[in-house]
Amino acid sequence: MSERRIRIETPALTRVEGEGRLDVDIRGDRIHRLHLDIFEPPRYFEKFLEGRHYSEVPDTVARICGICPVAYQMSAVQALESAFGIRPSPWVEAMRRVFYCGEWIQSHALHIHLLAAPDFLGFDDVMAMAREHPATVNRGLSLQGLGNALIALFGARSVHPVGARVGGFHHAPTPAEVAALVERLEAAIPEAEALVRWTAELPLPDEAQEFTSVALRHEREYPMVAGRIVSSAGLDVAAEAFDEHMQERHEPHSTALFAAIDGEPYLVGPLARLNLNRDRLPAAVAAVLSETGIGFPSANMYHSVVARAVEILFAVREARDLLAGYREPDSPWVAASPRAGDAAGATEAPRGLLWHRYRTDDAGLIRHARIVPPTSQNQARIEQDLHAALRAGGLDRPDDALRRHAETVIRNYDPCISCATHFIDLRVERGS
Amino acid sequence: MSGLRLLAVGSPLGADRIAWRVAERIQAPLAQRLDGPVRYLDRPGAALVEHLRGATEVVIIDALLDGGTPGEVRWLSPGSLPTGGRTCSSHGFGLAQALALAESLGALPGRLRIAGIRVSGDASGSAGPPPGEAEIRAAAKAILAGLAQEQE
Repeated sequence: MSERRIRIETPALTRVEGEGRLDVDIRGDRIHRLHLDIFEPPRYFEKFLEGRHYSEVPDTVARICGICPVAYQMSAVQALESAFGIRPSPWVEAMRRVFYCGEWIQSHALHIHLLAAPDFLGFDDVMAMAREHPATVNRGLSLQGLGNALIALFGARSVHPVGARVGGFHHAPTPAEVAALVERLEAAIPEAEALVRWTAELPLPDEAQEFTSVALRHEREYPMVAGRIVSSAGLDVAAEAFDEHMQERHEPHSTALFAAIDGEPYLVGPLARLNLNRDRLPAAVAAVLSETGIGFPSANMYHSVVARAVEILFAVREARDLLAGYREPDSPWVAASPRAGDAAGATEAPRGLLWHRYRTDDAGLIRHARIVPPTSQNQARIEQDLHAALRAGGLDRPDDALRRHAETVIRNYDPCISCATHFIDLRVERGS
Repeated sequence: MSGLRLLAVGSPLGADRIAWRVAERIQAPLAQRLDGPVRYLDRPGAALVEHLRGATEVVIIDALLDGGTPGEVRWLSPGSLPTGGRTCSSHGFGLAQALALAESLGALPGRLRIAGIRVSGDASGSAGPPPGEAEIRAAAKAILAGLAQEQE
């Protein structure tokens, strides 16, 4: 039997964040090698922070990502406040949650409409999709704009916001500014409800897989800025203990680290959050989800898109409720007195658990920083998913079909390689 | 709404702020023609579409890194914008992609022009330091002259 080898080099994989490549070597009826090659250079943010004053950290880490800067700021301030032994005011805690709602809304709206939906509806990109589904895309853009406005309300701007500080915010919005946004949030609730129903009706593949979900869990709230780290396999630990259970390792094909829990891949992100926290959804949101007939926990990775829509609806309502009766505080921050310390912080970025640890000295200078973003945690899980999905779909398919399937699997995770560090063209080798 | 809508696209970073600085200069001389205050947009991505809605005539001012003399203005049409080879990640959703999306949605105004202000930069495509007074003045003068000429 003659050996057949095919190598396909495509342009950069579209609709993911960052640069990399998928390298698949198929021998007969088995996958000999499958690597998510992340070759974008490391960005060294952790080293940049060493020697910097703690007050510079929120604005510096916001520059790691243009889509999820709030998450980086919130995990950082949480860790530093823990290291300094300060507790933000209830006003700050509530408004940080609003700030974070803005990021969930804008990031999820972008992913659903610009990145994922064209896959499920058979379009090459959102431009093509917009010609046949203009109302849907317009709704997505409107929600994205609302999320951006919420971020700018506290951050002064939506891209790399500058309003957060250790202890709170630099500035409190006026009641008039808040009232205008509450009106927009109220008007967006029916739109967000319609989005949940729309995602549930998408022709999603029906593929069940076994995986471990990891997310924060709070005693009362749907998790966003606080909680313990839990897993579907029974883990339940404080943020401080993250690195006792999650191991990171280098792989030769990636400049981003691969994370594992007790040696096994795991999932973070909206599906993992909803799988572990469905009972923390407010009744009004849970009722809309129940209407769809989709049950959570779900083993279908493609239900991630439904989870994102559910989280948009949750965030719109949550922001509206938290801003109702808004009053300007005497001060939007509490003073921080730096001291030598070592503490961790964990919050739920749109793409999943984002963990930071900082060690500070007496002057408040950063002596050590460590940041574990969600895409690093999902990398091994994406490879695991690709192995199963490509095999299930048939390895003898034409290369174009294989590539399209692989891209759909990868995009479904909304990977942010710019954070992790970056993504992708596809190379397939086939042999007997 | 009738009148010209002026969108200044940029960021607070280095040379990329030139559109904002130039728009500050030309807002007053153009006041009679504008449909409202200049809209200063910070890396809007797909959100640019929302700022095109309802306008009949739009001028977008943006920094342009093409190796030309800083401060010079190059007038562009949506179809002549470089796409840069990257397509449609939400980090990389640039002006060309946003205008293509607006076209698909029927949100493009009847008349749209782009004033690309040349800025300094390096071979990697990174924009250079903040614009100097001479560059700002030259670009403002060129844009005002271009807009006046089309009215004649």
